[in-house]
Amino acid sequence: MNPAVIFVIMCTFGLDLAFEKSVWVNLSIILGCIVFLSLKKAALKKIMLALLWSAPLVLGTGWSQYLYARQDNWHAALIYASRAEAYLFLALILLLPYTLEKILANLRDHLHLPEHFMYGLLAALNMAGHIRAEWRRIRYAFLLKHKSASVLNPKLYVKIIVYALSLADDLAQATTAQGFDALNVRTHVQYDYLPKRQWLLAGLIFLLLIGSNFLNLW
Amino acid sequence: MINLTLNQVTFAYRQGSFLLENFSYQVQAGVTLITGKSGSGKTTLLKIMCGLLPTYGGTLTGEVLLEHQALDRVPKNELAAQIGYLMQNPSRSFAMKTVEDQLLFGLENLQLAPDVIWSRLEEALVKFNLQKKRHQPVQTLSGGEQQKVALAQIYCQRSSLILLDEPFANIDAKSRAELLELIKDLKKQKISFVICDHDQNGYQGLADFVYEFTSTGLKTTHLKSYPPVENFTLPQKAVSKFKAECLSVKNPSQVLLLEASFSLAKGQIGLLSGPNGSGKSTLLAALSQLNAYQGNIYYDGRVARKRKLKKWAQIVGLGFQQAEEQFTEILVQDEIALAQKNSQHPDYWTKAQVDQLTRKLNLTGVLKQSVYQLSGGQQKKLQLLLLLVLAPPVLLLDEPLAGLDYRSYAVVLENLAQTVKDLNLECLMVSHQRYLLNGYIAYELRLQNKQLVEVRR
Repeated sequence: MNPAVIFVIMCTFGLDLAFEKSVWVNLSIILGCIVFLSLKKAALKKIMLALLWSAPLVLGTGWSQYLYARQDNWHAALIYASRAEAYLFLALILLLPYTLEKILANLRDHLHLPEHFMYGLLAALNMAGHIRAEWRRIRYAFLLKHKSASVLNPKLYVKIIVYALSLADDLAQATTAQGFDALNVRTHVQYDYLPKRQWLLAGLIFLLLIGSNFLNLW
Repeated sequence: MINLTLNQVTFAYRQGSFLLENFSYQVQAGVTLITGKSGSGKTTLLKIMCGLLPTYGGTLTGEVLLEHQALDRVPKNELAAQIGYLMQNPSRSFAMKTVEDQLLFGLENLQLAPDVIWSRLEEALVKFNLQKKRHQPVQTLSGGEQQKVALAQIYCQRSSLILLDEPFANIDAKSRAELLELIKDLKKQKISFVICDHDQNGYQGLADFVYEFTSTGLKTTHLKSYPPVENFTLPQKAVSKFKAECLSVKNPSQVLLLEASFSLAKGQIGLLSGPNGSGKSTLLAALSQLNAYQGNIYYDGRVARKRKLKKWAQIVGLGFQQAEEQFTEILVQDEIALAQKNSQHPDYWTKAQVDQLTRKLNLTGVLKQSVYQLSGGQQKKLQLLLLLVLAPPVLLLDEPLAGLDYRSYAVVLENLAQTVKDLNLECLMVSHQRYLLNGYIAYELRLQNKQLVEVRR
């Protein structure tokens, strides 16, 4: 399945879920996502970590519905908790099987994501390691001069922001020197062909989802 | 040979402060070497020549013409195919994650057919010996390897003019020799070069034109080179309070140093040498407790691990490879004032003494400027000034001499040696530049193949 199609599924299903009030529909989406992730051989460890991280949010959402829903507290709690998990799994079907570069390249090729946005995002993420290392060095530089390197010191953040801006400026100049211009057409050597049947399949599943609204499932 | 001409160009970043005044120059075929004082405007000239300025700042009057057409009217991808530019700090010029992705990014910009892109990519990887590094993240490569990737990218562009800004500042002698050979080879393919470099070693027989940069034009000069010293005349090594025992250091992909024991020396400067990627910077970071390590580091008999980083930073002053990272204030004068306020030898570093050093390092004219507006060489000199004034008992300096012109190099070395001796500091510095060091270096530690060997006299 092409990442662009998965992205559209994630967005449209996510939007529909906001209006669904059915535990069974939420669970069906979760099950469908689990099947997809198994077929894609996604790392189980990462799925478990994601579930662990989201557990407080899921439980908190459900618990608040149980406490404050006007009627049918348990049902409301389960709807919201399962909805939160469904959102999580919709994100996982995009993020786990595909690299960020592949996702962004397919969004550019099939959904017209602007090129400068794509490369800007990639460059920013690739520079994250620089920023992390720089943060340690900044704190050390502060300590060397007998200044507070506490994370509450706003000067540290001024320094890291200035560093990030300087880095961004250098990168912009470098990519310009390398011939990049957002308005120019570029060659794309790695292109994933997107068969129409994938859009048809996504559309069919979406119609089923819409149809479930009328079944008033629990 | 492309026709690139500057006619009566005047350029300033800020009102009233002109770096170029009625500057005229026509690029010549062959290799042109431009030298000049730090902060004189060499980088600015190169950026004007490749169209980055005034797009990214400053105001320019006059004409910059490429094949009789205004440079700012040439589409960026066409410009890159004619003029390639290697920045002073290549690690900040990589937008993509891996070596292959980075080279592909540049090639895709040129609107070439996919088969041409792949063939140029393969050719560049072979020519620059990067096949094994193809899928490696560029940020994990050593300085010299990153330099090669940046050059490989320009090579892929097939530019007929290549502008190199301090291309050998942070690389070892072997990598420097390899890159000079590559330049010679590309010169035979009728590619012209304009190179800004302080270190003029290795350009004999390569540079066709040698100029000194001034704000009004280029003055013809001749090559002044100082041969690098292979074996120093070393004095008796002094005692030390700083030592390491069974020290092992690694980075995410490999072990860099295995169970090394060594000490520094009071009142003396040691040289930490080794090829690119051997782990010199990582070792310095470990000695500063910025990186993890195994084994023990001691100062005055106490184990480093038992001291908090806050206390350790008062003992060990690390000078980062990128000088900009050393600064905590915005203005130069504020940085100097802060260093003086926190100096561990205030009796030595009086205001008069600090002012004298500032004058010697030619920083008096930039006191009210932002540290980020300084040139690379000026930042290096400011960094060293701050560390000397702070005067922690142990100084670890990562490439303090890189990118300095000969005069600044000599002044920095002389003042570093004097301060270290006067205040009995223990200093270890990494440097690929080996010229003029005789008489200043008391011992050498060579890091190679995971071993640290002390070179005896």
